[in-house]
Amino acid sequence: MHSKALVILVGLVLFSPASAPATPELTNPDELVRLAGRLLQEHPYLLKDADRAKLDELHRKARQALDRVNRAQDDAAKRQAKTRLLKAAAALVPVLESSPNLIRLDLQPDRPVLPPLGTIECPSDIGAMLIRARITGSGADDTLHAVVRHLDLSGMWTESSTIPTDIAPSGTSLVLIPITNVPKDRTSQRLELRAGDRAYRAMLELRSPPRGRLKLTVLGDTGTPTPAMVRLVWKFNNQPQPITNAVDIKSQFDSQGSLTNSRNYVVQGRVAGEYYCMPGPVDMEVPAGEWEIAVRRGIEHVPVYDSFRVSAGETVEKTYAPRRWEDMRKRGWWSGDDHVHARILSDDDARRLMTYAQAEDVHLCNVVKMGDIYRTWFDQRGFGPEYRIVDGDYVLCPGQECPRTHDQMGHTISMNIKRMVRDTDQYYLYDKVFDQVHADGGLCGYAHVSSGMFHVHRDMSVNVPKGKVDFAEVLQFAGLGLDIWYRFLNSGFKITASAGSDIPWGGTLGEVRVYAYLGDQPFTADAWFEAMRKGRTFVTNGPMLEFQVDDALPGDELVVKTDRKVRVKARAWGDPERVWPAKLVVVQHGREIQVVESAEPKKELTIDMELDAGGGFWIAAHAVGNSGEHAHCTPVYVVRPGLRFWKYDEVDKLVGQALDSLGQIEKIVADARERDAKGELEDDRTLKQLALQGPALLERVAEARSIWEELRKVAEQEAPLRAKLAKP
Amino acid sequence: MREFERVVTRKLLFAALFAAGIVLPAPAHPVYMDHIEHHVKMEVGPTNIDVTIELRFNELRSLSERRRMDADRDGLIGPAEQERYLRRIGRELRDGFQLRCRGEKLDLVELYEPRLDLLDGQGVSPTHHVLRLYYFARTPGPLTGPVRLEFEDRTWPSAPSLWFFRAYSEDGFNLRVDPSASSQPAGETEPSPGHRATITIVHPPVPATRPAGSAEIQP
Repeated sequence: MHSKALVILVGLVLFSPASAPATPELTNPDELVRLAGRLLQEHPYLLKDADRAKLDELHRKARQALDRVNRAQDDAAKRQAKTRLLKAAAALVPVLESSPNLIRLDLQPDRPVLPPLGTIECPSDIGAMLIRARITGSGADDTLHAVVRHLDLSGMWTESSTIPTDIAPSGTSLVLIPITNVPKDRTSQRLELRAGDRAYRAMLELRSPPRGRLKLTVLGDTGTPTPAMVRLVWKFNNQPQPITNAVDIKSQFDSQGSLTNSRNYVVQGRVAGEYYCMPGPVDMEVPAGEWEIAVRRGIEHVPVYDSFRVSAGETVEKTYAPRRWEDMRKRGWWSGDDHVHARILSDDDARRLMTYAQAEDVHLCNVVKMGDIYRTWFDQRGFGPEYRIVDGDYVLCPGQECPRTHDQMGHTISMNIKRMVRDTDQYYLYDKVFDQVHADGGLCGYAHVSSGMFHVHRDMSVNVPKGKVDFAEVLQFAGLGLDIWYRFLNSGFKITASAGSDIPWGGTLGEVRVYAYLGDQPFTADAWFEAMRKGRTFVTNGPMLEFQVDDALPGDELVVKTDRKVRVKARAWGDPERVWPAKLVVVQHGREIQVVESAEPKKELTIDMELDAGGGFWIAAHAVGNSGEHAHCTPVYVVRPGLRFWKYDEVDKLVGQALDSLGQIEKIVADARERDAKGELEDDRTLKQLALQGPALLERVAEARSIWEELRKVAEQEAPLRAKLAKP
Repeated sequence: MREFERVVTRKLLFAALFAAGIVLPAPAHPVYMDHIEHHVKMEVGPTNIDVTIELRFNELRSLSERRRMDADRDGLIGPAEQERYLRRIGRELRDGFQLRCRGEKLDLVELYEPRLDLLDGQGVSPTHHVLRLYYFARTPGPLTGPVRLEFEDRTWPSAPSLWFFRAYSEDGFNLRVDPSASSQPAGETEPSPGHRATITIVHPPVPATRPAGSAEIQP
């Protein structure tokens, strides 16, 4: 960005090289360093092109000197460092003063009213002035002071408003005045420089040039305009600019989480950052200058990056059509996000969220009303098929994240529900919710299993062995967490892999997603939920994944009746230009049994191996992208008749871990009941209800304990058969 | 023990907020409410290595920091209060980051003043905000042959965190980030001992016609 000019009407403003002090004494070198930094960072256009690199280097040297001052351990070192700082800062002055936009003022105490300063050409609604104000006559000396004062013109409400700027009472002040909210066209403004008890006033004129226009369209697969996620950056200040027709999604966030319409895509690489959801073509005014744009449509499309120039008074039309590097729909896989928080109480709410889902290309959103033992958030108009919002092959399905206890049992998620199942008088009896949701045809699982937050392992230890749990959220916030999930798989319990963004706490809808396999079936919400129920899923925030054991797909049980080998095939693939699989692993009982890696971009990695069916096992594929993205599928369960598919060698340890989790529940119930008996919980519904519901909860814990202990006996019973299988 | 420390830390945080008279809404979704996201971007050049750190504070951490900003206790954070906070926080965090080249510690120096984005609200309330920090180090001599850089972030060890690291070059350095040498804190719930990324400069600058190197990890 090059400034056109700073036109100074000379008048009584004196400009003469001879008037500059020869060797100014810098009073605040640290502030001068900051002034130079701010100018370089925000307003380099004030400098001559040739001086920018020069000032950058001098500024870095001065920063190093300033750093030494701040780190000096004793007085002597500090004095020495300050001397260096003075020298380094002084070197900045000539470059700053050579700015073609420098306004030189000689302030004479007997002349408080200065002639007009002239016209300040601002690049847009922001700009800056660099002033060298020298006090002459009384107050004149050879000191030099640096001053940075920000001016916000949005606060000027009358024509006679004055901009006050404090400068040093004596000597020379080098003043940087960043200005924001400059109105379009011409603005006359009175500037007042306050030097101690004296004030000098001058009129100045700010001119903010005509803006340009940007007509922006994003085309979808069919060549028609589509919603998309757009990041538009004005290179002048490298700041993302709002898209003027962006979807106001934050209005549906119930004042929770990250309350912004620009959503931070939490992923690695150039594509990361803040994006607005652009619902369709936009025609918007933008400042003239260089622009960069990034356009995204979920992870199956290649992001588009472009840069262009918009000239004042001109219209630039841009149309982008992000191309797919993959179309998982054609392979029978359909994307979903199991954890989307947003209020839907009106058609407008529904339309906004649907647009957002389409922009991120997420086909099924489980839009969860959230509750705890006190209240609910993110209300919905209703639940069940009649309250689904369908637009083509995109569906919003109201679901629930409730019950949720934070210091007790963890958070649960239900999908495809017909009603909000919530009874705070039985809040800790998660099985009540699971049973009702299942009776209504829905699916139940746990949130945040990836991070293990909220002691989610406790309720998992109660209800997973009872077969009441369908899925676990193992990918969230770009983090794949496997420990807890693997524990239960290793114990011989089937749990489907799922993923959810948890917006508005998460960055953006679909930044992690769960793909469900529908095969040749047409996409419907019911078909997607059925695939989820079968466990035909993988989760990802980058690479794609296929996995097969003989003919079995993720979630399937492969019963092997004779001693034989099974064939294991895994494939991970990505976009070689951006997200490519750097590692593909076959995981058996949580152990990596086959690994292929690539240090160079490759479209795909494959594993094709044979494996003895042995005593049975769970087996899955895990892919890691070149930038740390993850994909992991639900296991295939290889079962030998008469045996569980568990990790037999660790049964005792696994049972011990589960019993420990159950013991923790018993302890928190005992603690709550003890405190309740003392009358300490009357103002704490969370713990009061834990005390009251404790006996019923402990019954369930006791049942679960029996199941786990029974598993030790099962292990003993399996021993002869396993010994037989182990013989060569 | 770490679980105990985590619980104590959280309880102390809550206690401090209540003691300070802050009325918190019922914790709607404590997941990640006390998290800080660290987004680190490193640009490797022939003379300088620039490091930009963006810290995104979730509700409880943001509230705690906003209270520190609100010097006059009027519930609003004015420009002067922001500036004072930024000057203080820049100094406080300076030693929280370390950069090493071939095992030798490099001086990380503040390049620009820290920036604060209070997002939608200037008030002292449990919302989110973003703090941006800018540092640089001098590139130590010619970077020929494989050169190993290590960046470490030890800021806010008591806060659960998500950590992201990106290294790139616009001067032709071919970079590789080694995830195996990096910590794996994403989604962690416990105090972190720090985050580390290792960057290997595979090739020195090559002719300008070749695309600039770029590598990213999520340690």
